Amino acid sequence: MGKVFSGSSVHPFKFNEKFLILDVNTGSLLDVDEPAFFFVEKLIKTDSLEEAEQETGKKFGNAAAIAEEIERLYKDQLLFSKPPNYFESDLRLKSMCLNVAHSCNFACKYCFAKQGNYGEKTALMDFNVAKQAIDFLYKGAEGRTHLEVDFFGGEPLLDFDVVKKIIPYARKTYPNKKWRFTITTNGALLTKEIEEFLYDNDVSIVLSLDGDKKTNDMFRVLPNGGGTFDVIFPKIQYVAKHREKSGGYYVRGTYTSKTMDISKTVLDLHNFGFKYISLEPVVTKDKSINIEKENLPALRKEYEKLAEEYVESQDKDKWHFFHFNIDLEAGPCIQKRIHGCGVGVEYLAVSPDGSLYPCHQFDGVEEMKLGNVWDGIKNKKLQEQFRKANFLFNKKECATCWARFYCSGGCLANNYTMNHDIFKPYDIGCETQKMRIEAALYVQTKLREKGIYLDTTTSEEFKDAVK
Amino acid sequence: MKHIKVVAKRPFWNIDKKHDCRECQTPCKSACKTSVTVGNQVCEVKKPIKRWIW
Repeated sequence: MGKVFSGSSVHPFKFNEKFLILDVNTGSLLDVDEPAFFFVEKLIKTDSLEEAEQETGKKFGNAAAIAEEIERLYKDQLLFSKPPNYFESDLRLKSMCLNVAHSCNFACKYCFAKQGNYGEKTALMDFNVAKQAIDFLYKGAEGRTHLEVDFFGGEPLLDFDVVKKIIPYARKTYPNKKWRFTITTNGALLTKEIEEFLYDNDVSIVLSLDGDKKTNDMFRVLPNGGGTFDVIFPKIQYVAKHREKSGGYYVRGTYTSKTMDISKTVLDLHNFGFKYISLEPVVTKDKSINIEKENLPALRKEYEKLAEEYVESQDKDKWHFFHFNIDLEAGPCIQKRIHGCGVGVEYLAVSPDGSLYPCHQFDGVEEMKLGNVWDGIKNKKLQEQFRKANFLFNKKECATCWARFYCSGGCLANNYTMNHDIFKPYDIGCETQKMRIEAALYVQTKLREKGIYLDTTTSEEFKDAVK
Repeated sequence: MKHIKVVAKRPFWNIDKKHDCRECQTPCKSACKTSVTVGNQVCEVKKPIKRWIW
Protein backbone atom coordinates (compact mmCIF):
# COMPACT_ATOMS: atom_id res chain seq x y z
CA MET A 1 0.00 0.00 0.00
CA GLY A 2 1.31 3.48 -0.90
CA LYS A 3 2.08 6.21 1.58
CA VAL A 4 -0.82 8.34 2.84
CA PHE A 5 1.33 11.45 3.12
CA SER A 6 3.25 11.07 -0.09
CA GLY A 7 5.78 13.63 -1.33
CA SER A 8 4.37 13.33 -4.84
CA SER A 9 1.04 14.77 -3.71
CA VAL A 10 2.39 17.90 -1.99
CA HIS A 11 5.20 20.31 -2.69
CA PRO A 12 6.49 22.35 0.26
CA PHE A 13 8.83 25.13 -0.87
CA LYS A 14 10.40 28.30 0.39
CA PHE A 15 10.40 31.30 -1.90
CA ASN A 16 11.82 34.59 -0.64
CA GLU A 17 10.34 35.09 2.85
CA LYS A 18 7.41 32.73 2.35
CA PHE A 19 6.85 29.10 3.25
CA LEU A 20 4.32 27.71 0.80
CA ILE A 21 2.78 24.30 0.24
CA LEU A 22 1.18 23.27 -3.02
CA ASP A 23 -1.30 20.42 -2.88
CA VAL A 24 -0.39 18.88 -6.21
CA ASN A 25 -3.59 16.99 -6.98
CA THR A 26 -5.97 19.90 -6.46
CA GLY A 27 -3.78 22.94 -7.05
CA SER A 28 -4.70 24.23 -3.58
CA LEU A 29 -2.07 26.57 -2.18
CA LEU A 30 -1.24 27.07 1.50
CA ASP A 31 0.78 29.84 3.10
CA VAL A 32 2.27 28.40 6.31
CA ASP A 33 4.58 29.40 9.13
CA GLU A 34 7.95 27.74 9.68
CA PRO A 35 6.78 25.13 12.25
CA ALA A 36 3.94 23.98 9.99
CA PHE A 37 6.35 23.79 7.06
CA PHE A 38 8.72 21.68 9.14
CA PHE A 39 5.79 19.49 10.22
CA VAL A 40 4.75 18.77 6.63
CA GLU A 41 8.32 17.96 5.62
CA LYS A 42 8.55 15.47 8.50
CA LEU A 43 5.15 14.05 7.62
CA ILE A 44 6.34 13.29 4.09
CA LYS A 45 9.47 11.65 5.47
CA THR A 46 7.81 9.53 8.18
CA ASP A 47 4.25 9.10 6.83
CA SER A 48 3.14 9.37 10.47
CA LEU A 49 1.23 12.27 12.05
CA GLU A 50 2.42 11.24 15.52
CA GLU A 51 6.10 11.20 14.57
CA ALA A 52 5.84 14.49 12.68
CA GLU A 53 4.11 16.08 15.69
CA GLN A 54 6.78 14.79 18.06
CA GLU A 55 9.70 16.00 15.94
CA THR A 56 8.09 19.39 15.33
CA GLY A 57 7.37 19.67 19.04
CA LYS A 58 11.02 19.06 19.88
CA LYS A 59 12.15 21.91 17.63
CA PHE A 60 9.34 24.45 17.98
CA GLY A 61 7.42 23.52 21.13
CA ASN A 62 3.95 22.00 21.26
CA ALA A 63 2.79 21.06 17.76
CA ALA A 64 -0.67 19.74 18.61
CA ALA A 65 -2.39 22.74 17.01
CA ILE A 66 -0.49 22.20 13.77
CA ALA A 67 -1.42 18.51 13.74
CA GLU A 68 -5.05 19.48 14.19
CA GLU A 69 -4.93 21.97 11.31
CA ILE A 70 -3.26 19.47 9.03
CA GLU A 71 -5.76 16.76 9.86
CA ARG A 72 -8.59 19.15 9.03
CA LEU A 73 -7.02 20.12 5.71
CA TYR A 74 -6.47 16.45 4.91
CA LYS A 75 -10.12 15.69 5.64
CA ASP A 76 -11.18 18.61 3.45
CA GLN A 77 -8.90 17.28 0.68
CA LEU A 78 -6.80 20.42 0.56
CA LEU A 79 -3.60 18.68 1.59
CA PHE A 80 -2.31 15.24 0.58
CA SER A 81 -5.45 14.97 -1.51
CA LYS A 82 -6.37 12.03 -3.72
CA PRO A 83 -5.39 12.08 -7.40
CA PRO A 84 -8.01 13.57 -9.72
CA ASN A 85 -9.96 11.39 -12.15
CA TYR A 86 -8.51 11.46 -15.63
CA PHE A 87 -8.49 9.53 -18.88
CA GLU A 88 -6.54 9.63 -22.11
CA SER A 89 -8.21 12.14 -24.42
CA ASP A 90 -8.96 11.55 -28.06
CA LEU A 91 -6.47 14.06 -29.46
CA ARG A 92 -7.39 15.48 -32.85
CA LEU A 93 -5.93 18.22 -35.00
CA LYS A 94 -6.91 21.77 -34.01
CA SER A 95 -3.86 23.92 -34.45
CA MET A 96 -1.25 24.59 -37.06
CA CYS A 97 1.96 26.51 -37.43
CA LEU A 98 2.44 27.79 -40.95
CA ASN A 99 6.18 28.23 -41.42
CA VAL A 100 5.55 30.57 -44.33
CA ALA A 101 9.16 31.66 -44.67
CA HIS A 102 12.24 29.50 -44.55
CA SER A 103 14.17 32.72 -44.73
CA CYS A 104 15.02 35.57 -42.41
CA ASN A 105 16.28 39.12 -42.60
CA PHE A 106 18.10 38.59 -39.27
CA ALA A 107 20.87 36.15 -38.34
CA CYS A 108 20.29 35.66 -34.60
CA LYS A 109 23.14 33.64 -33.16
CA TYR A 110 21.02 31.23 -31.10
CA CYS A 111 18.32 30.58 -33.71
CA PHE A 112 17.04 26.98 -33.66
CA ALA A 113 15.89 27.52 -37.24
CA LYS A 114 19.52 27.92 -38.32
CA GLN A 115 19.18 31.64 -39.12
CA GLY A 116 15.73 31.07 -40.58
CA ASN A 117 16.06 28.47 -43.35
CA TYR A 118 15.99 25.39 -41.06
CA GLY A 119 19.13 24.09 -42.74
CA GLU A 120 17.34 23.87 -46.06
CA LYS A 121 17.09 25.97 -49.21
CA THR A 122 15.62 29.41 -48.61
CA ALA A 123 11.92 29.26 -49.49
CA LEU A 124 8.60 31.06 -49.10
CA MET A 125 5.25 29.28 -48.89
CA ASP A 126 2.97 29.97 -51.84
CA PHE A 127 -0.76 30.56 -51.52
CA ASN A 128 -1.73 27.11 -52.83
CA VAL A 129 0.28 25.36 -50.10
CA ALA A 130 -1.19 27.64 -47.44
CA LYS A 131 -4.71 27.04 -48.79
CA GLN A 132 -4.16 23.27 -48.81
CA ALA A 133 -2.88 23.50 -45.21
CA ILE A 134 -6.03 25.34 -44.10
CA ASP A 135 -8.24 22.76 -45.87
CA PHE A 136 -6.24 19.97 -44.20
CA LEU A 137 -6.64 21.60 -40.80
CA TYR A 138 -10.38 22.03 -41.30
CA LYS A 139 -10.84 18.40 -42.35
CA GLY A 140 -8.76 17.09 -39.47
CA ALA A 141 -10.53 19.21 -36.89
CA GLU A 142 -14.04 17.83 -37.21
CA GLY A 143 -16.05 18.63 -34.11
CA ARG A 144 -13.76 21.44 -32.99
CA THR A 145 -15.04 24.99 -32.63
CA HIS A 146 -11.75 26.88 -32.34
CA LEU A 147 -9.01 26.43 -34.91
CA GLU A 148 -5.64 28.10 -34.48
CA VAL A 149 -3.04 29.16 -37.00
CA ASP A 150 0.33 30.68 -36.21
CA PHE A 151 2.44 32.35 -38.88
CA PHE A 152 6.06 31.64 -38.19
CA GLY A 153 9.43 31.43 -39.86
CA GLY A 154 12.17 32.54 -40.42
CA GLU A 155 10.49 35.87 -40.68
CA PRO A 156 6.84 35.47 -41.70
CA LEU A 157 6.47 39.07 -42.86
CA LEU A 158 8.77 38.18 -45.78
CA ASP A 159 5.70 36.33 -47.05
CA PHE A 160 3.08 38.83 -45.95
CA ASP A 161 1.14 38.61 -49.23
CA VAL A 162 0.26 35.01 -48.41
CA VAL A 163 -0.57 35.87 -44.78
CA LYS A 164 -2.85 38.62 -46.03
CA LYS A 165 -4.69 36.32 -48.42
CA ILE A 166 -4.96 33.19 -46.29
CA ILE A 167 -6.70 34.81 -43.29
CA PRO A 168 -9.81 35.87 -45.26
CA TYR A 169 -9.67 32.56 -47.15
CA ALA A 170 -9.96 30.56 -43.92
CA ARG A 171 -12.69 32.72 -42.43
CA LYS A 172 -14.77 32.95 -45.61
CA THR A 173 -14.41 29.31 -46.64
CA TYR A 174 -15.07 27.89 -43.19
CA PRO A 175 -17.27 30.44 -41.40
CA ASN A 176 -18.61 27.83 -38.98
CA LYS A 177 -15.24 27.77 -37.21
CA LYS A 178 -13.80 30.33 -34.83
CA TRP A 179 -10.39 31.09 -36.30
CA ARG A 180 -7.58 32.44 -34.17
CA PHE A 181 -4.45 33.76 -35.81
CA THR A 182 -1.08 34.64 -34.32
CA ILE A 183 2.08 35.92 -35.97
CA THR A 184 5.57 35.74 -34.52
CA THR A 185 7.81 38.42 -35.99
CA ASN A 186 11.10 40.18 -35.40
CA GLY A 187 9.26 43.39 -36.28
CA ALA A 188 11.73 44.79 -38.82
CA LEU A 189 9.28 44.74 -41.72
CA LEU A 190 6.29 45.99 -39.75
CA THR A 191 4.56 49.03 -41.17
CA LYS A 192 1.53 50.96 -40.00
CA GLU A 193 -0.51 49.30 -42.77
CA ILE A 194 0.59 45.79 -41.79
CA GLU A 195 -0.18 46.37 -38.10
CA GLU A 196 -3.58 47.82 -39.02
CA PHE A 197 -4.36 44.75 -41.12
CA LEU A 198 -3.30 42.42 -38.31
CA TYR A 199 -5.25 44.38 -35.71
CA ASP A 200 -8.39 44.64 -37.81
CA ASN A 201 -8.26 40.89 -38.47
CA ASP A 202 -7.81 39.98 -34.78
CA VAL A 203 -4.32 38.61 -35.30
CA SER A 204 -2.36 38.36 -32.05
CA ILE A 205 1.26 39.27 -32.38
CA VAL A 206 4.42 37.98 -30.70
CA LEU A 207 7.27 40.47 -31.10
CA SER A 208 10.82 39.22 -30.56
CA LEU A 209 13.01 41.47 -28.43
CA ASP A 210 15.58 40.28 -25.89
CA GLY A 211 15.81 43.38 -23.71
CA ASP A 212 17.66 46.69 -23.88
CA LYS A 213 20.01 47.51 -26.76
CA LYS A 214 23.05 45.89 -25.20
CA THR A 215 21.24 42.66 -24.29
CA ASN A 216 19.27 42.42 -27.52
CA ASP A 217 22.19 43.09 -29.83
CA MET A 218 24.38 40.45 -28.23
CA PHE A 219 22.53 37.71 -30.13
CA ARG A 220 19.87 39.30 -32.30
CA VAL A 221 21.92 40.57 -35.21
CA LEU A 222 21.61 41.40 -38.89
CA PRO A 223 23.34 39.18 -41.47
CA ASN A 224 26.20 41.75 -41.51
CA GLY A 225 26.64 41.31 -37.74
CA GLY A 226 25.15 44.69 -36.85
CA GLY A 227 22.66 45.07 -33.99
CA THR A 228 18.91 44.97 -34.59
CA PHE A 229 17.61 46.99 -31.65
CA ASP A 230 17.54 50.35 -33.40
CA VAL A 231 15.74 48.83 -36.39
CA ILE A 232 12.96 47.10 -34.46
CA PHE A 233 12.43 49.07 -31.28
CA PRO A 234 10.34 51.94 -32.73
CA LYS A 235 8.17 49.43 -34.60
CA ILE A 236 7.57 47.26 -31.56
CA GLN A 237 6.77 50.38 -29.56
CA TYR A 238 4.27 51.40 -32.20
CA VAL A 239 2.46 48.05 -32.01
CA ALA A 240 2.41 48.11 -28.20
CA LYS A 241 1.01 51.63 -28.23
CA HIS A 242 -1.56 50.76 -30.87
CA ARG A 243 -2.71 47.79 -28.75
CA GLU A 244 -2.34 49.50 -25.41
CA LYS A 245 -6.00 49.12 -24.49
CA SER A 246 -6.84 45.91 -26.31
CA GLY A 247 -3.79 43.76 -25.56
CA GLY A 248 -3.26 41.01 -28.13
CA TYR A 249 0.52 41.27 -28.16
CA TYR A 250 3.48 39.85 -26.30
CA VAL A 251 7.03 41.14 -26.35
CA ARG A 252 8.94 37.89 -26.15
CA GLY A 253 12.65 37.52 -25.51
CA THR A 254 15.14 34.69 -25.29
CA TYR A 255 17.73 34.53 -22.56
CA THR A 256 21.00 32.63 -22.54
CA SER A 257 23.66 31.93 -19.92
CA LYS A 258 25.34 35.14 -21.14
CA THR A 259 22.19 37.23 -20.64
CA MET A 260 20.81 35.70 -17.50
CA ASP A 261 19.98 38.88 -15.59
CA ILE A 262 16.33 38.30 -16.39
CA SER A 263 14.99 40.52 -13.61
CA LYS A 264 16.68 43.52 -15.21
CA THR A 265 15.64 42.45 -18.70
CA VAL A 266 11.96 42.04 -17.82
CA LEU A 267 11.87 45.30 -15.88
CA ASP A 268 13.65 47.10 -18.72
CA LEU A 269 10.98 45.85 -21.12
CA HIS A 270 8.29 47.00 -18.73
CA ASN A 271 9.96 50.39 -18.34
CA PHE A 272 9.91 50.73 -22.12
CA GLY A 273 6.13 50.72 -21.78
CA PHE A 274 5.36 47.11 -22.68
CA LYS A 275 2.57 45.50 -20.68
CA TYR A 276 2.70 41.91 -21.94
CA ILE A 277 6.12 40.37 -21.60
CA SER A 278 7.56 36.91 -21.86
CA LEU A 279 11.06 35.48 -21.75
CA GLU A 280 12.21 31.94 -22.48
CA PRO A 281 15.53 30.17 -22.05
CA VAL A 282 17.50 29.18 -25.13
CA VAL A 283 17.67 25.39 -25.53
CA THR A 284 20.73 24.36 -27.46
CA LYS A 285 23.61 21.89 -27.47
CA ASP A 286 25.96 24.90 -27.55
CA LYS A 287 27.20 24.84 -23.95
CA SER A 288 28.65 28.34 -24.22
CA ILE A 289 25.16 29.87 -24.21
CA ASN A 290 22.81 27.12 -22.96
CA ILE A 291 21.51 27.26 -19.38
CA GLU A 292 23.56 24.64 -17.57
CA LYS A 293 23.24 23.12 -14.12
CA GLU A 294 25.76 25.55 -12.65
CA ASN A 295 23.63 28.50 -13.81
CA LEU A 296 20.54 27.41 -11.88
CA PRO A 297 21.31 29.01 -8.47
CA ALA A 298 21.89 32.40 -10.09
CA LEU A 299 18.77 32.01 -12.18
CA ARG A 300 16.73 31.26 -9.06
CA LYS A 301 18.01 34.46 -7.47
CA GLU A 302 16.91 36.33 -10.58
CA TYR A 303 13.40 34.86 -10.29
CA GLU A 304 13.28 35.78 -6.60
CA LYS A 305 14.23 39.35 -7.37
CA LEU A 306 11.88 39.63 -10.31
CA ALA A 307 8.94 38.18 -8.32
CA GLU A 308 9.48 40.71 -5.55
CA GLU A 309 9.76 43.67 -7.90
CA TYR A 310 6.83 42.50 -10.00
CA VAL A 311 4.55 42.37 -6.96
CA GLU A 312 5.80 45.77 -5.84
CA SER A 313 5.16 47.38 -9.21
CA GLN A 314 1.58 46.09 -9.54
CA ASP A 315 0.41 48.81 -7.16
CA LYS A 316 1.24 51.43 -9.77
CA ASP A 317 0.68 49.62 -13.01
CA LYS A 318 -1.02 46.37 -14.04
CA TRP A 319 1.22 44.47 -16.38
CA HIS A 320 1.80 40.84 -17.24
CA PHE A 321 4.84 38.67 -17.14
CA PHE A 322 3.72 35.46 -18.83
CA HIS A 323 5.41 33.09 -16.36
CA PHE A 324 3.43 34.56 -13.47
CA ASN A 325 0.04 34.15 -15.18
CA ILE A 326 -1.20 31.21 -13.18
CA ASP A 327 -4.86 31.13 -12.39
CA LEU A 328 -5.22 29.61 -8.94
CA GLU A 329 -8.95 28.95 -9.11
CA ALA A 330 -9.65 28.19 -12.73
CA GLY A 331 -7.08 27.65 -15.44
CA PRO A 332 -7.15 24.57 -17.61
CA CYS A 333 -9.08 21.44 -16.60
CA ILE A 334 -7.30 18.27 -15.59
CA GLN A 335 -7.61 16.75 -19.06
CA LYS A 336 -5.68 19.64 -20.57
CA ARG A 337 -3.10 19.46 -17.83
CA ILE A 338 -2.22 15.84 -18.52
CA HIS A 339 -1.84 16.08 -22.28
CA GLY A 340 0.96 18.50 -22.95
CA CYS A 341 0.79 20.76 -25.97
CA GLY A 342 -0.61 18.21 -28.43
CA VAL A 343 2.54 18.28 -30.58
CA GLY A 344 2.35 15.94 -33.57
CA VAL A 345 -1.36 15.22 -33.11
CA GLU A 346 -3.38 18.29 -32.09
CA TYR A 347 -0.70 20.60 -33.36
CA LEU A 348 1.33 20.35 -36.57
CA ALA A 349 3.79 22.56 -38.42
CA VAL A 350 3.80 23.04 -42.18
CA SER A 351 6.99 23.96 -44.04
CA PRO A 352 6.90 26.09 -47.22
CA ASP A 353 6.86 22.97 -49.45
CA GLY A 354 3.83 21.57 -47.60
CA SER A 355 5.67 19.00 -45.49
CA LEU A 356 4.12 18.25 -42.11
CA TYR A 357 6.20 18.13 -38.92
CA PRO A 358 5.13 17.62 -35.28
CA CYS A 359 5.85 21.29 -34.47
CA HIS A 360 7.84 24.29 -35.65
CA GLN A 361 10.92 23.12 -33.77
CA PHE A 362 11.03 19.85 -35.74
CA ASP A 363 10.77 21.53 -39.13
CA GLY A 364 13.52 20.28 -41.44
CA VAL A 365 14.36 17.23 -39.30
CA GLU A 366 13.96 14.44 -41.85
CA GLU A 367 13.28 11.63 -39.37
CA MET A 368 10.48 13.73 -37.87
CA LYS A 369 8.60 14.33 -41.11
CA LEU A 370 5.01 13.14 -40.67
CA GLY A 371 3.67 13.63 -44.19
CA ASN A 372 2.38 16.50 -46.29
CA VAL A 373 -0.72 18.65 -46.67
CA TRP A 374 -1.91 16.81 -49.80
CA ASP A 375 -1.57 13.20 -48.67
CA GLY A 376 -1.93 13.79 -44.93
CA ILE A 377 -0.08 11.81 -42.26
CA LYS A 378 2.10 9.17 -43.94
CA ASN A 379 4.24 8.20 -40.96
CA LYS A 380 1.48 6.98 -38.68
CA LYS A 381 3.91 5.09 -36.47
CA LEU A 382 5.72 8.32 -35.65
CA GLN A 383 2.44 10.12 -34.95
CA GLU A 384 1.49 7.30 -32.59
CA GLN A 385 4.73 7.87 -30.70
CA PHE A 386 3.84 11.53 -30.30
CA ARG A 387 0.32 10.66 -29.20
CA LYS A 388 1.81 8.50 -26.46
CA ALA A 389 4.45 11.04 -25.47
CA ASN A 390 1.81 13.76 -25.08
CA PHE A 391 0.17 11.78 -22.29
CA LEU A 392 1.87 12.85 -19.09
CA PHE A 393 1.74 9.46 -17.40
CA ASN A 394 3.61 7.77 -20.23
CA LYS A 395 6.77 9.60 -19.11
CA LYS A 396 8.15 7.92 -16.02
CA GLU A 397 9.87 11.00 -14.57
CA CYS A 398 6.76 13.15 -15.06
CA ALA A 399 4.24 10.81 -13.44
CA THR A 400 5.33 11.64 -9.88
CA CYS A 401 6.82 15.12 -10.36
CA TRP A 402 5.14 17.84 -8.29
CA ALA A 403 5.05 20.20 -11.30
CA ARG A 404 3.20 17.72 -13.52
CA PHE A 405 -0.10 19.60 -13.71
CA TYR A 406 1.59 22.89 -14.70
CA CYS A 407 4.16 21.91 -17.33
CA SER A 408 2.07 18.90 -18.42
CA GLY A 409 5.09 16.82 -19.24
CA GLY A 410 7.24 19.50 -20.83
CA CYS A 411 8.38 20.21 -24.36
CA LEU A 412 8.97 17.14 -26.53
CA ALA A 413 11.06 19.18 -28.96
CA ASN A 414 13.42 20.15 -26.13
CA ASN A 415 13.59 16.48 -25.10
CA TYR A 416 14.54 15.59 -28.65
CA THR A 417 17.08 18.41 -29.03
CA MET A 418 18.87 17.60 -25.79
CA ASN A 419 18.28 13.85 -25.32
CA HIS A 420 17.32 12.66 -28.80
CA ASP A 421 14.32 11.01 -27.17
CA ILE A 422 10.87 12.63 -26.95
CA PHE A 423 10.01 10.52 -23.88
CA LYS A 424 13.05 11.59 -21.87
CA PRO A 425 12.53 14.95 -20.11
CA TYR A 426 15.25 17.55 -20.53
CA ASP A 427 16.40 17.93 -16.92
CA ILE A 428 17.54 21.57 -17.00
CA GLY A 429 14.28 22.50 -18.71
CA CYS A 430 12.44 20.77 -15.84
CA GLU A 431 14.41 22.77 -13.28
CA THR A 432 13.73 26.12 -14.95
CA GLN A 433 10.03 25.22 -15.24
CA LYS A 434 9.82 24.36 -11.54
CA MET A 435 11.53 27.62 -10.66
CA ARG A 436 9.07 29.70 -12.63
CA ILE A 437 6.05 27.82 -11.24
CA GLU A 438 7.25 28.42 -7.67
CA ALA A 439 7.82 32.08 -8.51
CA ALA A 440 4.33 32.34 -10.00
CA LEU A 441 2.69 30.76 -6.94
CA TYR A 442 4.60 33.16 -4.70
CA VAL A 443 3.56 36.13 -6.84
CA GLN A 444 -0.09 35.09 -6.74
CA THR A 445 0.04 34.67 -2.96
CA LYS A 446 1.58 38.12 -2.47
CA LEU A 447 -0.84 39.77 -4.87
CA ARG A 448 -3.78 38.31 -2.98
CA GLU A 449 -2.43 39.74 0.24
CA LYS A 450 -2.69 43.11 -1.50
CA GLY A 451 -6.17 42.29 -2.84
CA ILE A 452 -4.93 42.20 -6.43
CA TYR A 453 -6.30 39.57 -8.79
CA LEU A 454 -4.66 39.34 -12.20
CA ASP A 455 -6.92 39.24 -15.26
CA THR A 456 -6.44 35.51 -15.53
CA THR A 457 -8.54 34.98 -12.46
CA THR A 458 -11.92 34.57 -13.98
CA SER A 459 -15.50 34.87 -12.98
CA GLU A 460 -17.01 35.93 -9.70
CA GLU A 461 -18.09 32.36 -9.18
CA PHE A 462 -14.45 31.40 -8.62
CA LYS A 463 -13.64 34.35 -6.45
CA ASP A 464 -16.63 33.32 -4.32
CA ALA A 465 -15.28 29.79 -4.08
CA VAL A 466 -12.20 30.91 -2.18
CA LYS A 467 -13.92 33.18 0.31
CA MET B 1 -6.22 28.53 11.46
CA LYS B 2 -3.18 29.66 13.36
CA HIS B 3 -0.32 28.19 11.40
CA ILE B 4 -1.76 27.68 7.94
CA LYS B 5 -3.54 30.11 5.64
CA VAL B 6 -5.40 28.79 2.60
CA VAL B 7 -4.47 30.96 -0.38
CA ALA B 8 -6.46 29.03 -2.99
CA LYS B 9 -8.64 26.04 -2.55
CA ARG B 10 -10.55 25.23 -5.65
CA PRO B 11 -9.63 21.82 -7.07
CA PHE B 12 -8.64 21.27 -10.68
CA TRP B 13 -11.75 20.45 -12.61
CA ASN B 14 -12.54 16.81 -12.86
CA ILE B 15 -14.48 16.37 -16.06
CA ASP B 16 -16.18 13.50 -17.80
CA LYS B 17 -15.68 12.38 -21.40
CA LYS B 18 -18.48 14.44 -22.89
CA HIS B 19 -16.95 17.61 -21.39
CA ASP B 20 -13.40 16.93 -22.59
CA CYS B 21 -13.75 19.85 -25.00
CA ARG B 22 -10.04 20.62 -25.67
CA GLU B 23 -11.08 23.99 -27.07
CA CYS B 24 -8.50 25.96 -25.10
CA GLN B 25 -5.42 27.46 -26.64
CA THR B 26 -2.44 25.37 -27.73
CA PRO B 27 0.43 26.53 -25.48
CA CYS B 28 2.81 27.16 -28.36
CA LYS B 29 0.29 29.58 -29.83
CA SER B 30 0.87 31.80 -26.85
CA ALA B 31 3.95 33.62 -25.76
CA CYS B 32 6.26 30.70 -25.14
CA LYS B 33 7.11 29.03 -28.47
CA THR B 34 9.81 26.86 -26.94
CA SER B 35 8.34 25.37 -23.78
CA VAL B 36 5.04 23.91 -22.69
CA THR B 37 3.13 26.28 -20.46
CA VAL B 38 -0.23 24.66 -19.95
CA GLY B 39 -0.34 25.98 -16.39
CA ASN B 40 -0.21 29.52 -17.75
CA GLN B 41 -3.20 29.04 -20.03
CA VAL B 42 -6.82 29.87 -19.37
CA CYS B 43 -9.86 27.64 -19.76
CA GLU B 44 -11.82 28.40 -22.89
CA VAL B 45 -15.14 27.92 -21.10
CA LYS B 46 -14.31 29.92 -18.00
CA LYS B 47 -12.04 32.64 -19.31
CA PRO B 48 -13.21 36.24 -19.26
CA ILE B 49 -14.69 37.47 -22.50
CA LYS B 50 -11.84 39.05 -24.37
CA ARG B 51 -11.22 39.89 -27.92
CA TRP B 52 -7.75 38.42 -27.98
CA ILE B 53 -6.35 35.01 -27.32
CA TRP B 54 -4.43 36.01 -24.24
